[in-house]
Amino acid sequence: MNMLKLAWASLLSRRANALLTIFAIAISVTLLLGVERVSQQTRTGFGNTISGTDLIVGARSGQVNLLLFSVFHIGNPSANVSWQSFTHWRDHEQVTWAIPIALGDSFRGHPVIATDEQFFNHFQYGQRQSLQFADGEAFSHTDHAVLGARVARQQNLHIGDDVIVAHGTGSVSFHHHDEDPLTVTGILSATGTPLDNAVFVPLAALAAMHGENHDEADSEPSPAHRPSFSDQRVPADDEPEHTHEHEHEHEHEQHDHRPLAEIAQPIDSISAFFIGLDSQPRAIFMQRMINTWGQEPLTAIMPGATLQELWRTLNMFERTLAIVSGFVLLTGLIGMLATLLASLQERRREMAVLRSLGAGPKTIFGLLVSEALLLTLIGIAVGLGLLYAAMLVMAPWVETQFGVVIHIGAPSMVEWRRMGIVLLAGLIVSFVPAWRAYRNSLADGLTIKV
Amino acid sequence: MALSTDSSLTPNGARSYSVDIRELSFHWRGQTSPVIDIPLLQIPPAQRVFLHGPSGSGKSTLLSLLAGVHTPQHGRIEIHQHRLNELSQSRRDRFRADYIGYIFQQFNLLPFLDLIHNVTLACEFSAKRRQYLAEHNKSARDEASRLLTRLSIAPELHHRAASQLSVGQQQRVAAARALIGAPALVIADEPTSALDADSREDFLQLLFEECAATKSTLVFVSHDSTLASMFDRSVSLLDINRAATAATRGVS
Ligand SMILES: Nc1ncnc2c1ncn2[C@@H]1O[C@H](COP(=O)(O)OP(=O)(O)OP(=O)(O)O)[C@@H](O)[C@H]1O
Ligand SMILES: [Mg+2]
Repeated sequence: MNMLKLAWASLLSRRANALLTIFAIAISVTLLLGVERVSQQTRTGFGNTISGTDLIVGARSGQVNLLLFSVFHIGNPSANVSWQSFTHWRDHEQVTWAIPIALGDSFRGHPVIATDEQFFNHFQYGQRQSLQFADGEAFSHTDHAVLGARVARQQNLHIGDDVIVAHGTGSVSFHHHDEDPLTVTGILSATGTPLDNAVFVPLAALAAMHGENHDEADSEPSPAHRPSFSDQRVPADDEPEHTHEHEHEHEHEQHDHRPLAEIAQPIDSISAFFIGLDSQPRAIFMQRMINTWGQEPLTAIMPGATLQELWRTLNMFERTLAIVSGFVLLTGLIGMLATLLASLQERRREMAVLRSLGAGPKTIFGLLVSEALLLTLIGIAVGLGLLYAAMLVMAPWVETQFGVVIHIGAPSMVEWRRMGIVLLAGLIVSFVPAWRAYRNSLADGLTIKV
Repeated sequence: MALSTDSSLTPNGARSYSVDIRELSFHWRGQTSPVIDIPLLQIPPAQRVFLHGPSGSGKSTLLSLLAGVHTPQHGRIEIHQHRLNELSQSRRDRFRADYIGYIFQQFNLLPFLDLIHNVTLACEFSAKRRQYLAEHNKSARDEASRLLTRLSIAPELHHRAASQLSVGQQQRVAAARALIGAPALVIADEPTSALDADSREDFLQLLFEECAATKSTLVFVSHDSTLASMFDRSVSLLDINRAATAATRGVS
């Protein structure tokens, strides 16, 4: 039986204390690694979400906010962009393609993206990968819809099924646009991005649901009377908006379904639009031009640059969390120190017996260090286990909430290094009780006053 | 002064002692007057020595000097041709593992190990004891088991945790651990003080038998003078330790 086995047996005999110590260390390890994991995963997850888009343009607002709602469907647009502004920039000579999107509605909790067929032609994610249809094709009629991969899987929907879009983004929607069921014409392949979680409808369909009626009306409805689809508020039952909604009902009923190609202006206003340029280096000039445009206050962002800004904010958050987990680790180690020190007094007998058998003070020192190392190692292992368990539990939730796919891979270099630091800290802390035991065993020899 | 003159002669006529102490003096750190001051103490191999003396006369201190846990400031202490006072601390630790079996008054066992492991623990620290067992074609576990049974510990107890035993049983396990691998010198510091009269005699009988079997020298400390007659020789610290004599005189 070597020192490690002896240390193990001794620890087992004090297992209540040992378990508490292990638990404290495990939790701090889970936190330390978890912070690293989360930031790493969000970085790759978010970084893969959009690619090949040079500019994102929305109404004047914060850059991060624009990025979050347009790409990740987190948060809301503060205002809309008029269709006229969109067409102005779409037709700009530098612009190769432009994708309009209008957000704000949902289908059974999945965000609805109203857009046009440009989305399927030009939007890219990951390493410049284009969208693929797993089944069917893009919409071509006002009553068509395309589903993200997970929507189809979760709701068990197939080509030809009907979907009914609800107002607002909550899972529980108070009133449905049930006047206008849309037919699924296409299902996208999985992308591992928030798009998997989205339902795509034509802009004209959204406009119709919200009571816009371009093709029959000869005059533009004044913006003041236009109900905003991006009004995310879910109205209470007794709110007047209800009756306001009902006013439009007759319009819905007489609405006819037409091929998208025949519609010149599908909608009055949109939430944002993506732009691809002829020459990517010109993005910065384009951005300035859009930001200083006199006709409508707009904000243009370069997705990569804004992501960087997001990471800077996240970095601070991450560092704070890392510091907090560092303190949790410190608490765990102090707990271990206290436990080991407290055990020394009652173990003076044990040490004297070992001394009588020929164990040197150095062996006693080693025994205490082994114990601390065992506790720390088990703590690290349990912490790692907790981390993986948490990831297994959290991954599906994160995927549905944020559309970010969590990859549960082996620990990274950074994580190994953090575990190494914990082990080293445990080793250093163990020197305190080990030194005490060393001194004790020299002074006590074989004569212990019990 | 009953200085030992008993001696055993080696075949070539030279005297060889298990314990050979000359002009030994030791004082605890921070103290000026010695607690041990022994001009001469010689114990021949395989002798059973009863060591007694009043409390505080330095019995336990002398035993820890014999075991090489502490080093004397002056004089010579030789055990089986090893001059302990000249060895480094780690050499003395190894020497103790190899040559000395030590039995405490009580709490001899590691409560979290079973009996077998408590006994074989002595072999973990000593290559010499392992070698002895290997030469006699015994495994440490078998020998531990045999010794325990010889010392009247029923085999079904051998895998119990040490904490489940009575004090008398614990002392016998401690004896088995001291004896395993046939150390040259067995030292016992009041091992029977926690036992009743009957088990005291039983314990001594068993200890004697096993010491005889391994030809180990036995130095046995006790306050119980009724046991003295069972030993080859009785030594009073008051007689051999000048420091103790002085101290006692001072008190009385
Ligand atoms: N670790 C120690 N440090 C300092 N002094 C000690 C230490 N151990 C013992 N002493 C002192 O040495 C003297 C002898 O003590 P020792 O324990 O050897 O006596 P003893 O003969 O074994 O007594 P008892 O019969 O009570 O066990 C005592 O005066 C004691 O105070
Ligand atoms: Mg004593």
